[in-house]
Amino acid sequence: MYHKFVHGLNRYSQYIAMLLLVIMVFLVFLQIVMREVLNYSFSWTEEAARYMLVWVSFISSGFAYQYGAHISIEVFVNKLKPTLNRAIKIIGTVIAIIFAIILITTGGELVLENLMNKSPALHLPMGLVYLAIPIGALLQILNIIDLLVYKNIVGSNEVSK
Amino acid sequence: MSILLFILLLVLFIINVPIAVALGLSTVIIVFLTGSIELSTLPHRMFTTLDSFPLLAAPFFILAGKIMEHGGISDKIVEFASSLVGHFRGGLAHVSIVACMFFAALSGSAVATTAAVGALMIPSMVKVGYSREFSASVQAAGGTTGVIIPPSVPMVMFAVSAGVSVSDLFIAGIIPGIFVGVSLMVWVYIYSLKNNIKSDEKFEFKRTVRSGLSSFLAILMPLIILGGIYSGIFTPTEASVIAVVYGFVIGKFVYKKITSAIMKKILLDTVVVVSTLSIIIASASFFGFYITIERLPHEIASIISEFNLHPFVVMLVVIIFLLIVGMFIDEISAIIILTPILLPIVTAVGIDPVHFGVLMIINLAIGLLTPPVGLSLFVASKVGNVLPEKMIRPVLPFILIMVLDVVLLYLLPQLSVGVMKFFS
Amino acid sequence: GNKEGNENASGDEIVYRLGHAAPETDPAGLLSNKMADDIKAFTSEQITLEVFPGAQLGGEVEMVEQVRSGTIDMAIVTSGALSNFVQEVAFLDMPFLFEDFEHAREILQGEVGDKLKAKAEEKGIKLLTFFDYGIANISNNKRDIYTLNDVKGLKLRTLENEIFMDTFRALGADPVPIPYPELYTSIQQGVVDGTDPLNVTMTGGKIYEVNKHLSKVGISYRAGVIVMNLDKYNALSDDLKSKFDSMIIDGRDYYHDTIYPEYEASAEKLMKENGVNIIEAEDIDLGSFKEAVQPVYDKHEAKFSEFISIIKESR
Ligand code: NA
Ligand code: NA
Repeated sequence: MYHKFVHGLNRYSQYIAMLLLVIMVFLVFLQIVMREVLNYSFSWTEEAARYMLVWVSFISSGFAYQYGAHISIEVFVNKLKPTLNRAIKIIGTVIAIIFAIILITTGGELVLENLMNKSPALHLPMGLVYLAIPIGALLQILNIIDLLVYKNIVGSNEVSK
Repeated sequence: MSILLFILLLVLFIINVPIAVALGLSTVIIVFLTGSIELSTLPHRMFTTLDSFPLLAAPFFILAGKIMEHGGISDKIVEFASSLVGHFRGGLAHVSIVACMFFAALSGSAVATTAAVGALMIPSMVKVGYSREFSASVQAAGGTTGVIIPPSVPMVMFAVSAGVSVSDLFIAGIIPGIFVGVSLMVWVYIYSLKNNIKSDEKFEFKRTVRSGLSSFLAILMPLIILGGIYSGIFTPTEASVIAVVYGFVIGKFVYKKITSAIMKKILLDTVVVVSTLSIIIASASFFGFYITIERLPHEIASIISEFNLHPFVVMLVVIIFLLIVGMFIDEISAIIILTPILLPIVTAVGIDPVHFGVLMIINLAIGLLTPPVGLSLFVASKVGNVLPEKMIRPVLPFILIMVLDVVLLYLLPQLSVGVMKFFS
Repeated sequence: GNKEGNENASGDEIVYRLGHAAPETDPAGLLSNKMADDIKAFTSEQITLEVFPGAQLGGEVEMVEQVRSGTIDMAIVTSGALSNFVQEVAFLDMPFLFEDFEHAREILQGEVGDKLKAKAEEKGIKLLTFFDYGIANISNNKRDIYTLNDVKGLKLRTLENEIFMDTFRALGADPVPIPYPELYTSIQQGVVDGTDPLNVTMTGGKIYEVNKHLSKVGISYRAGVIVMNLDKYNALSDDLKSKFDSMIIDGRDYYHDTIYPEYEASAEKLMKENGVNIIEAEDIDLGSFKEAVQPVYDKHEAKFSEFISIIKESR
């Protein structure tokens, strides 16, 4: 049930991230074409592309765990006996969850404090832009727990597609 | 407290905690213990680090690399390159580095250079018998020329911080940049001799012409990027998007290799890689922020200047210091923090500021190859699909060569400031 | 640690962190260093300033956020960095708003300045004072600019800021937003022809190397601000507060009377030595420039009418 829920969520976040990446390419390309062909530049494409990079980075950080993509140093733990190795990996998992919780609380505060502050070009509430951080951290936690329960390979570099 | 920070970081690394988490959490713990800064700085710092337009070039070039790989463009370029120099010993590895150097003359970023050329070259190097680890290491090392050969974003930052001329620094950086690239090829040659990697093919003029014609559109791609930047149609960051669009059009409509399923895989692979790198960069920047605000680099630099050392010794100490800094802090932050601190120390012993700029750029570029925060190493490991720790041994000779390069270029100022004075 | 140093009730020494984005030799850098020197004398060594120059702690907007959150205590930034937090400050970006520096000072040290300070306090930011950061002109590598016609068709880099971009459009140029780190190479390689530099951009950003035509059009005034964390400021004793305030005022006046004029003279000398042709304001057809920007006022004035009406009356 939980496994299904997380994977469903991951499918949506993958589509959002991929879509944002395509839009980023499109916006920067549009800016070049507009400037060179029509001598007109928009005042917001750069800001939009930058904010989208932030969103892509955080929203993908959850399902990236499913691909074993987060870089860690395995060389030491792999020399340990399987039981000790397993124990240490569980500790590592808990540590990653703690850090994500800190990101949710501090990031959440940042969101709330900046709901009224507007971005310079798009006039977006900065709180919405910062929201990428707690959401990304929440997705991280969901995926870490999923891996801990179903595969126990958090922090692994092995591609587990 | 700073020592405790480094111990914590080390412990977290050893127990296999993801690098981004280790960097962020160790700093959070120290901040919590000392109350030195507000914890809200963590998410804000992570955000502002990623909120950067020049940084966008890296994801776009990673995307372009994957499109070129799956769209058949890489195959064509590599086929053409190996028809040209594949018959030399270590030919394909030389091609990799030369390709990096050409790309470096377009791009101001090392990570983008490694990503763009690596996706192309690593699979082909593996095909002719190089180990995956060595091939990725060649790309990581070759990619550092992205910041060493002008144009270079770190050079602009140094010039601004040091109050020297950007164009002087660019001119002074040309020969040292080529020098570093060629010195990397020396190791490639030795490695190929030792491991007896040679090509099975002979040079055939006909084959080169045939391959040149059939890969015409692919070869045009670097020319479009290069021409576009130098004729001022777009900025180096924008060039990364042109690479994506051109690669897509050729791969989809000319070579007809990019189906929508493949495009989906390309996009998914890209966002995963981009995310992992971004999160490390963002966490590392919070770590660096704490170090800066506690004035750790200032304190170390003031210790260096207190002893009355011989110029050569001062330079050696500075080189070692920058190597250590480069392990943990990204190049641009290190330049912003350290240039005002180190410049008075080295100019006091008679080193020209522009000369020092060139040395500092190369010195800190080595940090792109050194763990725990070695972005070029990570990008090459992602693009080449190897574990980063497996690259530490094969990349070490390149690191040693680059350290030697810094020392040699210090002893031969004619190659940097000499050239600059000749032109001005 | 910073926090333990901030408890002034105990009579301990207070250590404030101050960040700014300028090189130490720029006017803002000199002002910070002067304040760091002065503060001990003014406060009988009760307060020390630790200065972090050159954007070591991040960009200007980031530093304002750090001031707001209390990670650092003070920052010296341009007013634009404040407009994320205090939107009304953006009226300062309007073209040809002030007659000259004196006019700007009179307004910003008067009723308008007080209103903005009150708005900043609502956001937890103590706005200690405004000062003259500089005047934006037009530089390019194509031609000397005397008339509106000379601006026509130039590709000029500016910030991603609607007022700046609309101003360039009204003048007949093509505004191109490019981030600062790519400005130098963009001009060098021809992505843009020029920009709207302050003198500190020309010298600190080395733009004089790639733009040899500078016309002192004076498109817009750029204010600098010294900001401080509101709680930290309020925690000062009344006695210390007044000493601190007079240190700020003294620093600002010294900046206006000595630091900035000296810098400006040396900047012009540097630019001329490097072959920059500087066109003085009196040789430029400024009347037609000021008329041409009327559409910018038509579009944006309503948002700031509360301030702009005061300024118009004072002209
Ligand atoms: Na380069
Ligand atoms: Na490193």
